[in-house]
Amino acid sequence: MRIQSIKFKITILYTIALGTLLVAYSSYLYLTLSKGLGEDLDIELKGKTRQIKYFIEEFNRQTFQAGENVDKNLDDVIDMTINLNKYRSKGEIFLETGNDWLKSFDYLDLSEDFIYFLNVDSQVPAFTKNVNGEIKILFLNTVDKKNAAQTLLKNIRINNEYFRMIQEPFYFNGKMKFIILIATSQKTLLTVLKERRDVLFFSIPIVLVLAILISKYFSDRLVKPIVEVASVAEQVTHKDLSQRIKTRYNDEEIKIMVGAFNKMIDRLQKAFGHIAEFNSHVAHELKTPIAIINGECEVALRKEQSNSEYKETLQAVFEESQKMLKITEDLLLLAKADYVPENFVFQEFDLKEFFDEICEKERKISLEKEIDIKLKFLTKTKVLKGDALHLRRLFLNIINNSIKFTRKGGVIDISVKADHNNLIVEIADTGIGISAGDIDKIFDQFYQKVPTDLPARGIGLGLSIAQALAKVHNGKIKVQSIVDRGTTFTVTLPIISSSTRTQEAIYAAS
Amino acid sequence: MRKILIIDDEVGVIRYYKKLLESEGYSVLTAKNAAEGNMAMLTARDIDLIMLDINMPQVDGVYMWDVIQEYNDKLKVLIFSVRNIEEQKRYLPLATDYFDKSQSVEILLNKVSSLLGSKKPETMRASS
Repeated sequence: MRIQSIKFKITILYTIALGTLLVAYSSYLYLTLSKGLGEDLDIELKGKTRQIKYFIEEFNRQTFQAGENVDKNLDDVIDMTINLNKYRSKGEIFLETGNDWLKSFDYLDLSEDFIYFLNVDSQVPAFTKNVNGEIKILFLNTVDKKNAAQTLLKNIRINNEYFRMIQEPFYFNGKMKFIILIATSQKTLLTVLKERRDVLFFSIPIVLVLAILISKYFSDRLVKPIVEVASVAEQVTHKDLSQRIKTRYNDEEIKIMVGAFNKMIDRLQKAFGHIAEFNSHVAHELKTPIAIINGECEVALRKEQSNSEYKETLQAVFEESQKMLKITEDLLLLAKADYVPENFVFQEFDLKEFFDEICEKERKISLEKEIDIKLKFLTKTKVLKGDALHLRRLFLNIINNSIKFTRKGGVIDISVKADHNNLIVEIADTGIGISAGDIDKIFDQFYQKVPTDLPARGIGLGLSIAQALAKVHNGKIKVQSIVDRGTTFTVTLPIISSSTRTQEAIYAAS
Repeated sequence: MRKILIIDDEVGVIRYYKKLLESEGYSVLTAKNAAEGNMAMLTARDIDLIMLDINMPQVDGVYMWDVIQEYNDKLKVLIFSVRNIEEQKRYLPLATDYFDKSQSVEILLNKVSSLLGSKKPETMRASS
């Protein structure tokens, strides 16, 4: 798996996202647990304090008569309360308290706690027996005498162990007598948290490894069609365009990609087919004059000939080479119109002059066939912006075509009109017409259909070239025809957009 | 004298074939299209060989072949074209012989002489 591959990226991104989420969620869980446990411990400590105070008060109330020197006995009661087990084992238990009291006190379970009653009047403090000298000093250092009236909670360390300590005042007969300090171990809490931490610490990497494996599996599956498409694409060459992706995919995006890919090969196959056909046509069109030049020369060289015969041969060779020149020029022009329209030069030119010149030239050609060419100039538009040289070629090709398919003595009417946006040139002949079945094919390259009695010969590029040139000028050529009545070509060339087009070309160039 | 009819829309081709064959002592008739070909076959009844171009824009050589067969299916027909012989055979598999225009005229002369040498010029008359 390469670092730049989508598969790798999916896997890494997925793992990072999942890892971050896992760590964040685990931390949240851990912190919540830690806070909850801490709060529980605080509540427990508060409960213990309250219970001890309550016990002492109740004991006093039940044991001593009002007015007795309670203060004097208080120390004893406290000592008994917090060191209950000691007294119990000695058998010096107060029978008056009753078993219920003892039970509820046992339930508090103070055996592990450190309890210290700091006497506010600096009299003898009471404490559990586990409070040794060192702890006593610690307690005395920790206690906050300034805030003695408040309940405070702190973390302290005793013998390298963490404890939670509560500080609470103890009022008796309306006077603050003691500050109660109770420290309880956080061992259980910390053990639970440590276990949880360990679980998270070990489980996250395992989950992440699983995530990598799973995401790799899925990314493999997701990327597989791309690899397949690529392998088919590898096999497609200009010689073999028959390959298609046949596998059906369920994923919408892959379907779109495969569909687009197959359609692209369809188009390429069609285009290549067209080019091959075009090339074969070109080859055959050029082969005929070459064969003639070849044959002429061979015949001339076989035997000694008269001068006039050599001249004839040369004339024939010259004619054929002229034909070849014309074919190659046509092909180049067609290629230029199709592929490099930016090479055309758009300039304003005089329309009247332009069409007069064309008609004059065509009249010379049609003279032999006695075809009358009439020009009607019906527009006030004087100039057009376009490539005059190539527009001339466009009209010559169409009119030549009309002459070719019009019988002796026919008429060709050329009318030049304009509407708001377009110059409209109609070329109407009285020729043989085009059948409905053929009318769509006349602009196809190399299409030609010549009736028996018309001695016309071309290579079938004239109208293709005319149309390509019209397109270069953003124009169109339309044909209407009735068999045996005649054909009308309508050439529409935009007056405005041809200049806009040049503008665009200037912008594009700058 | 053996009579040959050349049917081809390329005037240039007709010109030097006629010159070549006449210099070899054949009598040559030419036709630029099917109409002229028909006319030639009707008027000159003693044609020994027809040379038919397979690619004529007006009437395809294949159609012309059918016309010739209706006149006389025993008549020798030499098909010729700028297309290669394999392709020509695909269009018209039953012709007597084939010639590629880009081949040397010597090959054409050999083909013509062997075609006309093997049989007597009575064919056309016998059928009519």
